[in-house]
Amino acid sequence: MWIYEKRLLYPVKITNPNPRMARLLLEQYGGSSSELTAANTYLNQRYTMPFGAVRALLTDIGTEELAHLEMIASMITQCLKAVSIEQLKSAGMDGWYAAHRTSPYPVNSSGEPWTTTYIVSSGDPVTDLTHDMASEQQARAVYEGLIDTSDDSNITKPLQFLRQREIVHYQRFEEALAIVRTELK
Amino acid sequence: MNNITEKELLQQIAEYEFFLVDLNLYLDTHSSDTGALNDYNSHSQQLTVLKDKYTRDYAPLENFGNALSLSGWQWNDTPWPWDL
Repeated sequence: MWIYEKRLLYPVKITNPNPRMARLLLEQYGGSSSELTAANTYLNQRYTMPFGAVRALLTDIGTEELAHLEMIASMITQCLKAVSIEQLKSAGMDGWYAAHRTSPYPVNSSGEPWTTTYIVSSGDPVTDLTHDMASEQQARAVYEGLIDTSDDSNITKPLQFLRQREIVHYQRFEEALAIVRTELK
Repeated sequence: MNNITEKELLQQIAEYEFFLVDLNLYLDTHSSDTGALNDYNSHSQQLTVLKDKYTRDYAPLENFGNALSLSGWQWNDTPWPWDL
């Protein structure tokens, strides 16, 4: 089960409203390589994973991804806080405001809904872990793209943190795959 | 740890806890690394000390009975982490 800790894993304090960035950040809230996809993928894969070490890793990384999702939601909410209708219109986010006010919503940066089809959970340990390694690289690349679009350090610092975590997760999944291969011999 | 401000205490909790999240993942795939394990346990002990102090002096950081609420029911109205 999950306990909730009333803190963010890494601080988010965006004081300059930025509705354009809020839209871009949706890619990591409800997009194909989003934290939502990662959390759901790993937490789903763990149930029939044969090896304790890999169940542990999928549970722990999956849990960390929920903490990342929370950071992205915080960034989106703060980017939309105290934004004028004019600013929303220039950023093409007046439609968003009508549907969601200043809440996040699990769609990607083009407004496409999140879908279960973003998840791979084959029940085969090698397939799942190979997929997970690729997912972490995809997420890393999206973070790099997002970082390129902003020069506000209040935005880029949490994104740099999240990018770095994807790299670490990739390493851990690579180790888990080696464990699986050894065990399967 | 007597003249520490609330902000400094939260900063220490953040640093210890992040260190432990990262070390936890490492131990999942390196479960026989006793050095890392000792590091995990010693930092975990210190995190408990820090969180207990935060709970006593300020408010619970966790729900479902994982922290005490010593000044009335504090969970509802203490700051939520996504607010500025």
